Amino acid sequence: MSTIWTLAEIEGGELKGITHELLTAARSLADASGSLKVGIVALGHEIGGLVPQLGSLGADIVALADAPSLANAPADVVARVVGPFLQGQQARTVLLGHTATGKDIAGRLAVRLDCGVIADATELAVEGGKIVATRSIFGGGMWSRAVAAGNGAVVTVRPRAVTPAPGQPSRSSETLTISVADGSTTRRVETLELKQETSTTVSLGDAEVVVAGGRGMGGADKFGPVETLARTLGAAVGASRAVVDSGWRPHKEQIGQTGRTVSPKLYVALGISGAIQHLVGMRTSGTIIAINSDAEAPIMKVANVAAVGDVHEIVPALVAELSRQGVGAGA
Amino acid sequence: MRVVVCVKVVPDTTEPKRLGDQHALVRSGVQGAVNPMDDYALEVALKWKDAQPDLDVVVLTMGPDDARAIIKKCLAKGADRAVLVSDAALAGTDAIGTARVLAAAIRKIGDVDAVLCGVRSSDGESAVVGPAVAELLDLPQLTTCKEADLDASARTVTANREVDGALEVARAGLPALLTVTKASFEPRLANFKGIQAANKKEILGWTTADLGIAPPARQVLVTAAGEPPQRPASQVLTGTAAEVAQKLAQYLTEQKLV
Ligand SMILES: Cc1cc2nc3c(=O)[nH]c(=O)nc-3n(C[C@H](O)[C@H](O)[C@H](O)COP(=O)(O)OP(=O)(O)OC[C@H]3O[C@@H](n4cnc5c(N)ncnc54)[C@H](O)[C@@H]3O)c2cc1C
Repeated sequence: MSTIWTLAEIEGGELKGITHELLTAARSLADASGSLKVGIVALGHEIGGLVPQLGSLGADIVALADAPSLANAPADVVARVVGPFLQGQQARTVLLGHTATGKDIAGRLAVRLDCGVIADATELAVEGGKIVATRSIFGGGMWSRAVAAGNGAVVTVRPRAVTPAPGQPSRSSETLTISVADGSTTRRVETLELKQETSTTVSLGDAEVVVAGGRGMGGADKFGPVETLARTLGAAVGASRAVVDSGWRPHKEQIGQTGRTVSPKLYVALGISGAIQHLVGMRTSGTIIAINSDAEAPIMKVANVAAVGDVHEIVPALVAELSRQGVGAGA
Repeated sequence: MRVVVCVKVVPDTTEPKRLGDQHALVRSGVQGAVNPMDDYALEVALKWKDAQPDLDVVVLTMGPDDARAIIKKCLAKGADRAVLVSDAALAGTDAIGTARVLAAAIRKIGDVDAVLCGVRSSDGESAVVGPAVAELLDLPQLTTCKEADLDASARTVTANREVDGALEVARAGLPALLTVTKASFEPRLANFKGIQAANKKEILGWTTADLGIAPPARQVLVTAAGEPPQRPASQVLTGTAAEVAQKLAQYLTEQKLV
């Protein structure tokens, strides 16, 4: 295990935030170990321009797989191109994001490397020359610590678990070229249509702040306070399952066991009771604020701040108070 | 045509979870249920079967022998038969190991046109088993599908996928693997006729020896587990709406959250 490898996530020719986080995590592991290097694989078309940035963010080695056929490559193609390269490098630790892209690739890459997967790590450390990953399990009800026991592991890291360090433009890196074998990029999956959500709001997965509404909002047409507060705080909108099942909000906004897991800096729960299946999706949030008319609701025990009262009275007053202080002005 | 639906029996989530030996989840004595996402995967297969009754829908589970009662519920809903891979040597198998066992079983079932999995399990939550099975069987994958249509004559499957902030319509040639997320429809319930029919359906029991594989070596070791540090006790705000709002705004500012 001489190099910790990561894989760049690139969208529209730019690095996604998770890539900064992964390089920060890999860099601090390497520095703590004193002997490890940081390598990153970037795969796509015409991505050579990203090399200096990847170096400044902490990579010692940048391995480029650059070909027209690799633009937006599906997971099976990524595994076929990156797998043999990392095998050749005898990679023992590969960090990916616990993101849509990372999850699609992690299992395939682990099979290629004949290693394990540690999913959704929230903390990484080096102990006795080994990478130790901490995961939050049972929705934050417990934590567990895992190490690779055999040939190493692909570790997926929860987005926002690592605070990205600023780049150091003076850092330089070595560049390797990954050869792309004929036929390895054959596509078996075809995208017919991509409907970007046209909402102007922040996407849940990336959001630093989430404002979520539950059945206590009282109806599809009574979600206004959730949206207004989200706009004021620059937050993404979330929902409980009760609300999604009632058709008040789309499933993509559902947080919890059968929805998404989020871990924002601030989570505001409006009219949500805090059933265990909901808590598992948000319990690792930094600060939790709950507004609920029932002081005994389970969410109130989990919250850092439990505001007792009617959401339809408190939220408009809060938005007014914040805008008096200049928060959210112009939003 | 043949479809395999991978189903995991998970602890019913309304029961409190406990860790036992080697920090593994205690499963015995805990009420089991079909992993919710797998139920959606089964529903996708059964919808295909509604349209194409000769479709062979096989439910595949790796788990303890007492998973049979729960697999039977899948048969009662309309699956044709089931395979249960059960082997004492498989206790504590990690995600990639599980994928190796499932892939070997799918090979043994043979002539499989599509594999359906839930996007993730409610207890392991790694979301990597499906893609790992796809890699082992060299199949293309369509993950986080909300809906999927099977075109038997064109030998393709077209799915609506929920990807970060977007909805993608994608098509793969068969054979392919799909992972299914909470769909836009609810899984069906078994009716009386189905429950009776299930009694006559076959649940094959296989071991790793039947699959011709060694139990996968453990690649991940859990070394410690525990309770998270207690969150500080909640600060409770009461009073008139205006008072509560003012205290909230003050908290947000003080904590630099706005
Ligand atoms: C297998 C399974 C999976 C599940 N997965 C999920 C999941 O992924 N996500 C999820 O969220 N749930 C999930 N659930 C459902 C979960 O158990 C709860 O039913 C659900 O979370 C409740 O949603 P709620 O909090 O919005 O509604 P309720 O429980 O009805 O709570 C509404 C709350 O609003 C408060 N309220 C009412 N009026 C007002 C008002 N005017 N002002 C302020 N407060 C008010 C009430 O005091 C109450 O606390 C799952 C359940 C099962 C069985």
